Amino acid sequence: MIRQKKFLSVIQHLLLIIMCIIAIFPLYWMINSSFKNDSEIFTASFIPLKPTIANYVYAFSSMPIIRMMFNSFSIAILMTALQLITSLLAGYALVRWKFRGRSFIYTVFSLSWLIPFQAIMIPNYVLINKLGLNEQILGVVLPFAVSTFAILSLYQNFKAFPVALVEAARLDGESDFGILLRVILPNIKSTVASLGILLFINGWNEYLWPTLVTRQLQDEPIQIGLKSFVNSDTNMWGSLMAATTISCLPILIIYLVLQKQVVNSFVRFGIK
Amino acid sequence: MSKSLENNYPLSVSNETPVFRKRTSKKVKIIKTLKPYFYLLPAILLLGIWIYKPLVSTFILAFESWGMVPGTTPEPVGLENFVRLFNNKDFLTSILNTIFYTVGLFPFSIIIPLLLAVVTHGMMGKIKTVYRVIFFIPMILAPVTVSAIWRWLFQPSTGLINIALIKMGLIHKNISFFSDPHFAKWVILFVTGWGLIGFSTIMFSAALTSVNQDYYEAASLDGSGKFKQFFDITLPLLSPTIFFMITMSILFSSQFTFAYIDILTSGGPFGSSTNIYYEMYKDGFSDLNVGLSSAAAALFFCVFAIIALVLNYVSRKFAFYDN
Amino acid sequence: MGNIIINQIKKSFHLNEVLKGIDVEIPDGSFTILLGPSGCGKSTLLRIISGLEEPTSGKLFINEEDVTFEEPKDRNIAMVFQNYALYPHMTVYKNIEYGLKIKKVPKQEREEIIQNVLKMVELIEHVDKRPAQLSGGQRQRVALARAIVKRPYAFLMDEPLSNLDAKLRNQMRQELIELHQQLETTFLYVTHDQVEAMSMGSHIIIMNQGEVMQQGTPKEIYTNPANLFVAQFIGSPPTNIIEFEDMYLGIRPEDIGIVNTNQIESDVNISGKILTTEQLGGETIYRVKTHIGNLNVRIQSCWDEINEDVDVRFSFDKLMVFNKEGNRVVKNDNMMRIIKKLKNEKELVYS
Repeated sequence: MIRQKKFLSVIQHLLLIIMCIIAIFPLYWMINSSFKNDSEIFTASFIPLKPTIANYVYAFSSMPIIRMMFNSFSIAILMTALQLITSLLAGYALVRWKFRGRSFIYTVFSLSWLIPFQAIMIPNYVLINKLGLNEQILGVVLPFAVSTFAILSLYQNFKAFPVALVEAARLDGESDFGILLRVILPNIKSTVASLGILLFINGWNEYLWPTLVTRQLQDEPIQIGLKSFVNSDTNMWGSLMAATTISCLPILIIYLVLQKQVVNSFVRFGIK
Repeated sequence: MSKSLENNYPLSVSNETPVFRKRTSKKVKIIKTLKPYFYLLPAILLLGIWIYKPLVSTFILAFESWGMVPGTTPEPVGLENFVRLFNNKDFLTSILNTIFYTVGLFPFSIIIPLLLAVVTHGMMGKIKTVYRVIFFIPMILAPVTVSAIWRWLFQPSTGLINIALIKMGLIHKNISFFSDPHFAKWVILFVTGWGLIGFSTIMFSAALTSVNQDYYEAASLDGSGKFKQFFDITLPLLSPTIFFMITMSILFSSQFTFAYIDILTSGGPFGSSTNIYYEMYKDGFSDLNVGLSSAAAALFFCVFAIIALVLNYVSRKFAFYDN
Repeated sequence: MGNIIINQIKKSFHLNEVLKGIDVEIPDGSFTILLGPSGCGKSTLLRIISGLEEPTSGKLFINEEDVTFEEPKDRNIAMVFQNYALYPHMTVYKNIEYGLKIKKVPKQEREEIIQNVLKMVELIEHVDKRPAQLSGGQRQRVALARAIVKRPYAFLMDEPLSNLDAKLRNQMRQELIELHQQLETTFLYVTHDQVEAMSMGSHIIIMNQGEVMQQGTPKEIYTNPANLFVAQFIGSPPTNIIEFEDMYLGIRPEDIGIVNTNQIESDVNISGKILTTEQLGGETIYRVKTHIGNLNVRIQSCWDEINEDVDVRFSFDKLMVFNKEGNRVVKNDNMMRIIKKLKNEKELVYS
């Protein structure tokens, strides 16, 4: 019986290791390739025999990488900030008071993520152009200023918040906004942080809308800027890999530093 | 003292005081009722402007013709867009592809993750966390990053995959993954699936921990082996999560493929890898045929809305909730 | 048929030694209780017997067969869990049927067996309900039914009544005793409640910190505790323990007399002061401060207010003597000479 258990355990670990390799190998290959020089890049060496940083130099010189990273950051942070603010207010309202239309509004929020972006991209594009916001950060961020996912997640969190604390604050004479700011928020810091991380990652990875709205390379977030590099016919694969490595570095760093947080927040919010 | 107090809080019933009190409390009451709406205003306003109104506009545009040229206005054309849609061969191909992607992603979004979750479930905390962290990495990478890496790996002449396949003797000639109509959509499928596995695995893992261990112990005393326990206990008790992931998968699979299609194949070659969402995008921003794009969008929004309702009903009926 | 022999079973979790070498035999057909405080290892021992845990060393025999490393399903024992562990998505009928189906019992026979057992536990009307629709006591009966249909060599029960309210618990105790007589199969029952143990078991095994402290009938354990732990664990209020010279002396509260309300032979007559009085209805418990320590005294109910200055009396026969390790020793003449000093010593260390 013990032998059978050990055998099963080995098989299990084998399967998992295969999956791990599948998950990580592409990343490894990307980094590996980014350090290979022009002649070595077409070989299948697993470690560059003659490592070089020429690819990175080329990447930095042919694209405004720093500027684009900055764009990505700005877009992601702005989106996250706006989404957090709007969802904190909305979530609070839904839980704190009973009012007419509450369940209707809740349903409206819940259903809105069924709407695919492609169904609203054209009118949004037209509107942004009309407002003259195309090729500006606000134009990229505005349609995403609200995240119903964030609203619903915070709604669940507020619902689980101990009512006694809120009531004690009310008796102390605290205003409604004050309760949100000084009583609830400090106590759900980690939840908001987790949500923020999720929203940031989403903002950083956003694809379709920034593609539509930005035109010049220097306005584009790093992802979109990279895209033109991907499709170019030249064989600058080393440089492409270098640029790609740079582009995902921030997220990878955030992830590795906060991995437990990130994974847990996906779990926590996913279940709800 | 008491006299002044009485002046501030008149207890006597006079004709004036009640009216005075009513007026202030009315104002306070109005503010009180409107408060929640103020808090909700930003969210609702933004949602209205950027999601619901555009949706309605799209439905209207579906019956109009427009080229998005500044200065021109949309012209109503009745059902012409819809007729054009159904007569378009590419459109029909894209529907088939959409189904292909939706069904094809099931192994990546449900089957493999479920198995992975079950297999890692019994493991000790530290190892489990390590596996989880690693599985999740593809999920957090941006589509462009992912596309770039796989573009390089699948490069016909110099990519690692062809080199490896030839070295192992499985093929004799390089496969043009992106320009061969037979392979293009499979590559898209694989690349999209690669990124999805992590998310579902984590979801199922979390759901598994909420299943009471006692059931498994009772079952093993009843004579049930590991396999039987999976079907008799794990699946039924995990059914809410499974139904949820199936719903998500059906509704969103095809959307997940969008970025990869745009970057890697542009829907080709010969429309073999496109799907309905990509066609909408192409019609709108490539061919500048707003009407066609909107018609497709409106049509499929309705289709998916119905699917969502049906799935919702099915899960309520068949999923089991252990309270 | 259903006797269980536990031979030098040891169990460690990582560096934590939970069972330090258990040697017991559980007689076939007995109602044996594994009694002990939380953490004593009784549940672990039960799980090892069931096969859900493996021992670190030692051997286990059920019905004369070595089953130390057998799978739970191959041991022919049934377990009733503390939280019942009923399959929540199956009806009562299907819950009971599950194990039979796996053993490939033919449908006709299955139905017969299940119907009989349902009658035995009085659950016939609830047969199509799901666990969520049943009360605590009903769920417990389903758990029992599921165990009974297996016709096991022994029933293992892990504190099955602890989730029920007091009244229901009493009722279920009776039903379990009756069930035991009906089934004539070994019952191995884990509990931390010594009242439950004493009232239900024919054979009690007391455990503490991974070791067996004593085993025997309720009478033996109560009147003849083998060590300090047993003396203090069984009985409420617990035995009074007095540290005296290099020995421990023990005397049960009901063996002590106070004033004139109890006719007790007394060799010792000590003066004391009443600290507290507890009126329990059928009896009265006094806590009395004496020069040999604070003693609990239990007498038949006395509702009268009595003077706090009282005389406390007991006879040497009822005195239990333990050595410094806590083990019970026989009183010899030497000891008796020392103990007789008790009456007169004014300054003693007391516990």
